[in-house]
Amino acid sequence: MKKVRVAVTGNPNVGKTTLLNWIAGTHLKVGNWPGVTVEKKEAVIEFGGYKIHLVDLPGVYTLEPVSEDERIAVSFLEEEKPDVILNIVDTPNLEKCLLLTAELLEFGRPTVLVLNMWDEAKRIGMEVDTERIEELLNVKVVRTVGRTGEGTRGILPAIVEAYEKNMVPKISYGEEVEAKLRKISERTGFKNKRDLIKVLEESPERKELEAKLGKSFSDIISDERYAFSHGLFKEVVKKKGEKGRDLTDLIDRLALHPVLGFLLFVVVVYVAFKISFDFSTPFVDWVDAFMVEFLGPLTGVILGSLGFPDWFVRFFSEAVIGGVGFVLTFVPLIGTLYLMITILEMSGYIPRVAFLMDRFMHKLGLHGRSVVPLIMGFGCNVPAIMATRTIESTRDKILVTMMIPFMSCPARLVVYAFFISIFFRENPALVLTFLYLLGILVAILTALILRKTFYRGSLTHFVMELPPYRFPSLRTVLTITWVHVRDFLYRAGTLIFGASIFIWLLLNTPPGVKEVSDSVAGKIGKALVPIFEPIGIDNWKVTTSLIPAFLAREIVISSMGTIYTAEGYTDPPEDFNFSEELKEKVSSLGGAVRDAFLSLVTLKIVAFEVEEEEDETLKGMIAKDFTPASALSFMVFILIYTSCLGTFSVLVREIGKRRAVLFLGYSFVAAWIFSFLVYRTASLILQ
Amino acid sequence: MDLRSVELGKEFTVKSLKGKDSPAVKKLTAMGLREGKRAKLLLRNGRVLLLRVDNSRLIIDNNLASYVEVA
Ligand SMILES: Nc1nc2c(ncn2[C@@H]2O[C@H](COP(=O)(O)OP(=O)(O)O)[C@@H](O)[C@H]2O)c(=O)[nH]1
Ligand SMILES: [Mg+2]
Repeated sequence: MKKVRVAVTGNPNVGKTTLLNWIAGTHLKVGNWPGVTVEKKEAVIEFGGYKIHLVDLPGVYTLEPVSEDERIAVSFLEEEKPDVILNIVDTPNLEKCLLLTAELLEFGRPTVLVLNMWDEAKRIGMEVDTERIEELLNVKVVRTVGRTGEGTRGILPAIVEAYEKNMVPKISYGEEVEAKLRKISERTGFKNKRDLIKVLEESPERKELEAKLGKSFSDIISDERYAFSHGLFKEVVKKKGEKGRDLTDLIDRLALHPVLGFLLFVVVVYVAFKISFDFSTPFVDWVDAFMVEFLGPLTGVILGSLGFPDWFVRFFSEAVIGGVGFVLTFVPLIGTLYLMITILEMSGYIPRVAFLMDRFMHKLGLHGRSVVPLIMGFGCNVPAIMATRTIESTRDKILVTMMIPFMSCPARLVVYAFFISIFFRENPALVLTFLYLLGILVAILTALILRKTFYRGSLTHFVMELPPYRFPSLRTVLTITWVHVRDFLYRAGTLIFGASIFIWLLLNTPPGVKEVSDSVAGKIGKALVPIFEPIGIDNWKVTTSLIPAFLAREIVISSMGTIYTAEGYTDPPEDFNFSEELKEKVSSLGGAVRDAFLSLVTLKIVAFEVEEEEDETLKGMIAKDFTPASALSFMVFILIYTSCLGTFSVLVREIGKRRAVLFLGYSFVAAWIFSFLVYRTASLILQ
Repeated sequence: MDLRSVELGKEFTVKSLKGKDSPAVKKLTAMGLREGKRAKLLLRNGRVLLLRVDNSRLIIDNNLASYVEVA
């Protein structure tokens, strides 16, 4: 099947990712702040006898390579030479978007122009003559509404048509420039404008042109582009439409108010967390009970009766159920948290925080804009670090990059949720707030240290766009949440499973070892104890769990699950009543659903509050080796130490190996110091 | 006079831009704030200004605002 490569381009916030989701039904991440699509994302679809390969380029305003984003887009267009360019524009802001369109048309590739946000254009009474655009530019035009999917079916046929007819777009500039370009075309045989302009820039004719028009070459070209887009706009837009005071202005009066806006921010964050925790907790408890009381015994009984060897039954119970299953318990929590983050991201609220926080960020020597990747860090540190590519100044980029790993992500939340449900049931909200704020504090301290030492420099300018508030499409929000959950499940099936096997093998080496504490795992763990003893972690089972946790933080929980299950291993129960247990689990699921929705009507965070004592379970066993103080210290350690392979590798890529390794060491030392302080203080208070 | 001294809620016209070769000014132009454009100052918060240009809203810092000559 023939392959058609399509570059998907457009300004930030034009609905690029939403449309891609409609076309490809897929795996692409969406966001509403400038710079969320910084990574190259792709989708392959079969249509009309072709394999259509879509590549989502970063959202940019122009192709002049100023920031990393623009460089990525330009080098893709120049080097990969896509067969078709899909240019998505935000119709109410057509005039602004057409500058990028002009630059794209210069490539001379078949182009499809998608007029998105058609609903908003209609609402403000804007009228666009799409046929005239097709005629003038020799491109295909499609009108769409990303929120509902209206018109999106027309995109793929338009791509195929533009490709099959090899529609070379028309774009012409002022007569002086065109005359020179024609001469160059005759001389060199080049056809597309972009190449011609490049040759002209290097040729002696450039001087003539500059003298004649009385401005620099780059001014001439950019003025021509503006003139072209302005002229086109005038020609095809019959009514500009009048945007009166709209809802966004109204909300902004509150959201951007120096005092009220701040309060609103606190409320928004509180509500997002409240829903994430309280809605998910009943499900977390249910999955936990399902694993421990149903799936565990059931598989034990089945494997045993099928005549599998004893060691295999143990392996299954310890590494699979005890390790991987333990982490899977937290899927409902991760899912709802991502749902909240995605809704916030797509609603357009996040960039407002940049405006609110500028004063504060300025004290750290940064722009308000840097807040955006920092907030993204609460979702996942890895894309947040990649989003720093939109920052033009290297100094700012490095500062922000080194703050992001202290933003507490959902993987850390898994660890907190575990300890809080054992030791801090009375004040879950207090402990969580403390941990999140401590992360922010460490980030601030890091920025201050760096600014006073290595990165003095002064601030550069900044400008960013505030998108209007928009209701995200439910479909897209759910798709994106699912993509995150799928990632987590995938990690559980690969990385976490691998780590569990690794730990299990260490626990069983040398073969036939009687006491788990005599195994290799036990020896390594014991050797590490002296390092962690001052911060209250004096148990080899816990220190051993920290080693594989470098891959991902939640592994510390799965590893402890494996180790403790191994130590307290009991043979599968004899009297397991399958149908009774199943009935019980199904009916308790109903209760969980009810509890989840009921939690939404209360104001206080109640998660983790309602649980009875448990002793014989995994949690009970682990609980015996911690005190509230050491649990707190352990959470602080996990929070601050960059124990995540994903983050480390993206750090290496973005700021270099040397800095990344130094940073890792720094985060370890900082983690140790803060854990020590917290442990000593907490030991005095929590008795 | 430059953009910094525009009164809150007032409309203005961009007369000229200084430092056209600087990346930030280029970006500003690409985002729609060009010579001859009408725009409105919506809000001010410390060092940052919120502008409305056509149908979009831009935040720019005070320093960059000093590059924008208005009438
Ligand atoms: N009203 C309206 N909203 C849309 C449309 N297309 C996308 N959106 C919303 O616009 C916001 C930004 O979309 P997104 O796909 O993240 O834009 P991107 O930055 O270009 O990838 C989201 O909240 C979408 O739900 C549309 O045609 N009409
Ligand atoms: Mg996007």
